Amino acid sequence: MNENDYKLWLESYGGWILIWLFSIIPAIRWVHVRTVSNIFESPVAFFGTMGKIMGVVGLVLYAINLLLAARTRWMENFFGGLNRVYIAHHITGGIALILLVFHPMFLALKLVDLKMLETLEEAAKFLLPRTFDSNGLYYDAQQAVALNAGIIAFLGMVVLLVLTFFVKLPYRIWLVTHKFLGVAFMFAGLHVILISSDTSRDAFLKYYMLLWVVIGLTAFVYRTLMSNVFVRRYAYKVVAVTQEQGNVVGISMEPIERPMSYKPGQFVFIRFLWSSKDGIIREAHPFSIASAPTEKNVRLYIKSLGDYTASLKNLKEGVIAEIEGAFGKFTYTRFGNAPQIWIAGGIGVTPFLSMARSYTPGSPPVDFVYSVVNRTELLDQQAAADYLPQKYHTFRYLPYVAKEQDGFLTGAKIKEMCGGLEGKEIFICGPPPMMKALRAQLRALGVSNRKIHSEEFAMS
Amino acid sequence: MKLKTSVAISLGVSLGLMTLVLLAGLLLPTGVLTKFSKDKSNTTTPASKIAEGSDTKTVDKSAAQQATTQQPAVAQPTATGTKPTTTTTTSTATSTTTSGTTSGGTTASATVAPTLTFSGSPTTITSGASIVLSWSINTNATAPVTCTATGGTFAGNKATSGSQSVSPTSTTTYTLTCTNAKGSSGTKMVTITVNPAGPACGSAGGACTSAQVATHNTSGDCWVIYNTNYLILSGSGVVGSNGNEVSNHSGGSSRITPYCGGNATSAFTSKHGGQTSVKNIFNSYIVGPVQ
Repeated sequence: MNENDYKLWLESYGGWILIWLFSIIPAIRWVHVRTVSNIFESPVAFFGTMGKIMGVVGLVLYAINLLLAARTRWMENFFGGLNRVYIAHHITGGIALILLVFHPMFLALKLVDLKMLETLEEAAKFLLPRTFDSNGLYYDAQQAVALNAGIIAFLGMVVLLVLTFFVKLPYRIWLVTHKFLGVAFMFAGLHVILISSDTSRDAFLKYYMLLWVVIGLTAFVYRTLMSNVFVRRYAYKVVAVTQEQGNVVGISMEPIERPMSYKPGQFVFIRFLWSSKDGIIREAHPFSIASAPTEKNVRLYIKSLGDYTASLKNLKEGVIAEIEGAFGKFTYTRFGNAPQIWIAGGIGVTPFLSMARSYTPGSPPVDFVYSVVNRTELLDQQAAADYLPQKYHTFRYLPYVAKEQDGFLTGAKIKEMCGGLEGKEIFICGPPPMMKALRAQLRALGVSNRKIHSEEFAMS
Repeated sequence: MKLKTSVAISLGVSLGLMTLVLLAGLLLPTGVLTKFSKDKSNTTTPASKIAEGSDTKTVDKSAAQQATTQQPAVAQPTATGTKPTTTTTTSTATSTTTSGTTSGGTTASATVAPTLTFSGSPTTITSGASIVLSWSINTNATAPVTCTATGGTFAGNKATSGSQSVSPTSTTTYTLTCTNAKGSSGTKMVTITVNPAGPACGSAGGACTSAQVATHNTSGDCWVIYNTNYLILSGSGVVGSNGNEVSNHSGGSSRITPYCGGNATSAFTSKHGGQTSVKNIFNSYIVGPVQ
């Protein structure tokens, strides 16, 4: 395995292996402390163990989830791009939620003895907040604080994740609510640190959980509370705004101080610092870079797909942009000299424009399939259609206009246009349904999944 | 299964069950819950309380009854249906001071009659304990002097001075008489009041020292200290309503065994401090006070 293979392996599996490893460790330790025979000794012991293991594993996943949301570039090496880091963030968040909602349920059920149904009353009281009355239930003040913190964390998490999974809020409102999950995590951390349980008695579990609480909180502080201090951003100035066909706006920006370095096919988070009376909120959104790293200016093509992107056509020259990046592993330079097929769908062409502009005589042979519905939507024809194929005989430009040909692009049509698929590295970027359909069709035609590289930013 | 579906199902199941527990536990009266329980024998409230430092010993008869009828292998004790009655016996400590009488004749002035010093300490004991009787005579008594004693194991011929340990099981008067060569004699009596012994450590109401509790430190023979009392959770002498609590503990025996022979007060309070029904079960295991 050479270094590049190792990197690709790490990107495919490394992150997930680490996630499962880190989250299963407290469960293994717990079973070790309790011993298996103790756990299965009685239903109560089993419920108690299940509840607590779900608590510790859930909390580690919650911390990992915050870490994944910290949007750090080193993490891309373990997942193969920031988009996949966010997919992992989404999945770990969902699993953490599932585990953590069962955590109090099992602990409450543990208290219920079917032979003595009056124990239901105690189980019910267990689920309620503790009073600090010294005559009240569980008068240990630290336990009361720990349990109440757990209840606050639980309610906060459930409400905020119901908003994420089941309510379609406008993006910017959702984003504000989502940030409060870090606050819920603070309470969960307080709960696990203060609670008198095996986590406080076993030194390994105690420090392991403390470590993850610290990691989670650090990530939250880095990304959400103090990102202005910790996160590096580049200052650019808008120098040209052009209206393109198909509701696309082109934005060129020049660096004010140090230019950002990036690879062709990468994307950035960008925030335009203009006033709200111009009709836009200062929030960061991800966009692919269409320019080549060798160019002085950074160029973006943004299609109007929502409130925010629609407002960008009002952008004026001279507006300052804060750019964070660059992110992504969707770049053609990492796969040796095997021939490549680039498949762009609509506005998904932007990373390929950057890649095409960076094309050199030493680059692998490329068939660039650019699929649009109407011919007028074809962007940046100067580079793609005229300049590159004439200069390099290894670069073929294959526009596909669905309205003029018979229907949407398919795997079979790609195979036909490119003269076979075997041994080729295939890059796809476009609307998510198109990417999903093409991946399935290409796999049906015998292309290995590992040979298909796609850039998904929409999370399902 | 899709993540969103799994999340939805998990939320439904867990929140649903917890709501059910909350509604049933808080809204249904305890009487209704008890009625639908499979087992009702645990609902009698044990009342074994021994106040420390008081002269009055309250012996819990129910505990004593259970101690004799309890089958360790059976999880639930036989329900009698009537609330056990409690008998209170008061034993007052009486103290009898040393009483001595001297009798003697007067004869020739040349002789000196023996004068006795005779004492026992302490003068009040509990059955089974021992005391030391000490005696001596005046050094100028006309020799030779012979002494004889009566009373329990002390009876017989004695030297003119000495000490002897005795363990009377009932109140006993010891008499010592010493006579000189001329027939002059002196007599002294010591009465030791013996109170009947209380229940032994390990039997109902019997007090134990924490050192005695500490010897029962295995899962098969597990005694623990709880506040000012001690409990027998497994082994012989179990009185509690749940039988061998080490093996029947619903949270598993491993939660109890670390405390066998030691003090379980804080562990119990932090785990079950708020659970009245568990507290009642725990109280039913109280055997006696810790001294």
